[in-house]
Amino acid sequence: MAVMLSSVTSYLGALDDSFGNAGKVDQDALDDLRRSAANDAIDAWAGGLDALRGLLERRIDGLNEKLYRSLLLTGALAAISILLAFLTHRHIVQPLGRLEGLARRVRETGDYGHRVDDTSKDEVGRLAGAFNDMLGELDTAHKREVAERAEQAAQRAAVGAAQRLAGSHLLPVSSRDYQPTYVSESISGLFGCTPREYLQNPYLWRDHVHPDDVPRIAAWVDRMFENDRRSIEYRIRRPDGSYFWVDDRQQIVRDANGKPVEIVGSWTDITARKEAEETRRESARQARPAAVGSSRGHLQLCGKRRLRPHLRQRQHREPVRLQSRRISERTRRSGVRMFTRTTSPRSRPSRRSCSRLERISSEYRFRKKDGSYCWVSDEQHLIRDANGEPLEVVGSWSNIDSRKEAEQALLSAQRELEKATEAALAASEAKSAFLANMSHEIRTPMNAVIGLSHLALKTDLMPRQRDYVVKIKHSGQHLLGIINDILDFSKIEAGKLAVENIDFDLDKVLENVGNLISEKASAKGLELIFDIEPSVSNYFRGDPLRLGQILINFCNNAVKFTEKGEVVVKAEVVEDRKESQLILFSVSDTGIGLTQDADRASVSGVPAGRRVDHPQIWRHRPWPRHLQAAGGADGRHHRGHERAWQGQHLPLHRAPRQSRDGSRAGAFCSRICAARRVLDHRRQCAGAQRIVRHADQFELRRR
Amino acid sequence: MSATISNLALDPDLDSYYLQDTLVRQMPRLLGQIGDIRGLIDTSSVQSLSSGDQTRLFASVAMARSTAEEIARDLTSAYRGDRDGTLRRKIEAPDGSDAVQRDLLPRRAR
Repeated sequence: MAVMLSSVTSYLGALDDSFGNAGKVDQDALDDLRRSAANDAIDAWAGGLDALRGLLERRIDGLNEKLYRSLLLTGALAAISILLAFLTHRHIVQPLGRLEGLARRVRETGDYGHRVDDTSKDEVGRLAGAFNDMLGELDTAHKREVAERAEQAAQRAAVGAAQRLAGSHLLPVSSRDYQPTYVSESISGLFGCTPREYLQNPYLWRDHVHPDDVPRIAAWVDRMFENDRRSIEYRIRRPDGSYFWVDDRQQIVRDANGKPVEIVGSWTDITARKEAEETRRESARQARPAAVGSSRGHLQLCGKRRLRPHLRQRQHREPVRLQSRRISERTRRSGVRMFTRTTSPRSRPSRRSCSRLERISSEYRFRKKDGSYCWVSDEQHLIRDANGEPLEVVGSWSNIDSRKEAEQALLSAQRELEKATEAALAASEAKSAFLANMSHEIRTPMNAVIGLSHLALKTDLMPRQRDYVVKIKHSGQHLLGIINDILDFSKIEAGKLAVENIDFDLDKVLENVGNLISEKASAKGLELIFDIEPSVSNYFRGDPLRLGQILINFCNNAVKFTEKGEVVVKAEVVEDRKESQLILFSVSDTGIGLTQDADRASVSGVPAGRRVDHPQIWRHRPWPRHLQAAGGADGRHHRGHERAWQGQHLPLHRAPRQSRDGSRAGAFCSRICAARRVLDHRRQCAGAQRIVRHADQFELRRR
Repeated sequence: MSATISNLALDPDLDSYYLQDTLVRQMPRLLGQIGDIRGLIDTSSVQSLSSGDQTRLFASVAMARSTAEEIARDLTSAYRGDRDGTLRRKIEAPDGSDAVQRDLLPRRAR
């Protein structure tokens, strides 16, 4: 390699020299040097490769030798490890496993009497010995703990019994010499002292006892060991001087031999209970006299949990004893048995219903001693204390046989009345149906009588015969009208009256009414005036026949009972709507009308009353059912101060045709003062020109 | 490429690493540079070369000298890793390296 470098260096040096000597270069020498350098480089490269190969081979050999040594070392280490593992397992793991198994057995069984059987002298043997010592100490401690637990459990049982006994606020535990060993913190709430102060002066409570209760408490203390569980209630003075009630309960704890070892006692504040009892006694004192004073049987049910009668008093029996404790136990029990045996479960008053309602009542039957039953009314009242809590139920029984009999008689009478009503309705319907069906048969001969009498009047008759025939004709027409009315009435009752709903001209209806009535009115010298408001529409949709019947009936009545003066038919708009008008049709006359009482009596449609000056003539009001069929609301028929008035509200639907403008007549009679008043009123309302036209039509002159 | 495939390019041993670097990378480069020099001055004299060719010739000569110096340093490092001198004995004659150092380094110092 050094030769190659030397050749190359020489060649490069020759080149450098050739650069400095321009024109004197020996080209052949440079070629030789270059060739030599190239050959040396190739040789050096080949030699280097051999050297590298040898170097790598030597390195591989070294690595193989290292690998061989490593394998040998690994095998030796593995053998040593196996040996150590065997020894460790035999001398350490197995003894420790036995220790572990023993510890598990001790834990599972709780028996500390097990021991490890290992007497070797090594560390494991010493560990087993220490483990055995520990088990021995644990066994001793466990036995001691079990004994202590048993003792504590006995104490807790005694204390728990005392607490369950009274829900205590105070828990003194006395030792065998009756000196208290423990007192709870709540003693300060009772006596105003700390537990330490109480333990130092255990008879502190005696100084706070009410003087009236001291003898009773002394007697109670003297009989201390008669019962293991005892209680007494007395009063204790508070630090502020007031007294409160306590329930003092004591329980004697005895050992296995039955010898008293401890006294566990408690004081419980029962002031609230005492006040509730006092309230209850006061309520009972207030309730009993009322119950006893009545003639009803008395049952007093007391308490929230038990339905127990304190007092039971038979009806009509003298209430001698009122306090429940004076009633014998046998009587009280018999009352409960009777109550629960003779009543159905549904009728028994439940505690829940008593506590929810202030007053409940029910009626049911009791079985008497002779086996018969009597109806009783059971009423119970819930009495509450000052806090609103249910305190007492005071109930009473009363015999209601007579009322039940009256109710039964009333029910039977009602049933008979309903049957009679149904029969009457059936008969009425049959009659109405018969009349409705017989209309043709009745009208036909009447038309024959009227028609033939009309024909007979056209013949030559003697004046007397003509008078007879005229009367026959008028009577026939009158009878036909009556028959038509009756038939219409029958149709209404039979539900066969057909009400039309057609467009009609109100003026034509009024004109027809005027034609029919004007003859009668003029015959009696009466003025017949139609006073129609201009705002009343001309065309309506409805039944013109029924409307005409109503107005003719009004007018006939008016004309019939008016001797002189006028009859005014009036139509005025009460309520004007786009689709309909509520019109009041009325007919007033100067005759005499009905009294108010007679008018009220005529509402049913029967003949209403007598005119005072026509005792034999009945005046009829329009049929209410007829009005109902025509859509009328209510009729009026009363006597005013000067005029008799009858009217009817009728709702009429407008017809689609346009109404005519002011062509309606204001009056049909001329030169009459009433008609002039009407036209004057219309003039004020509608204008002078229309009045002029009306005046021309009716030959009236303007005033 | 062969050095990379055989992992000799990452050889942690100094002697084998520098030896393979000399053989695989430096010596082919030196032969190529000598070939370039020969290609430039084979047909004409240095003065007859164009200015560009003269520049390339000077550069090639300088690079060939640099490569030779690099080979000398690699060999020195390789010999330093070969503690028992086996490599030196197999590659060159005694004092060959010293000759290289003597011939090359003074010229480089100049």
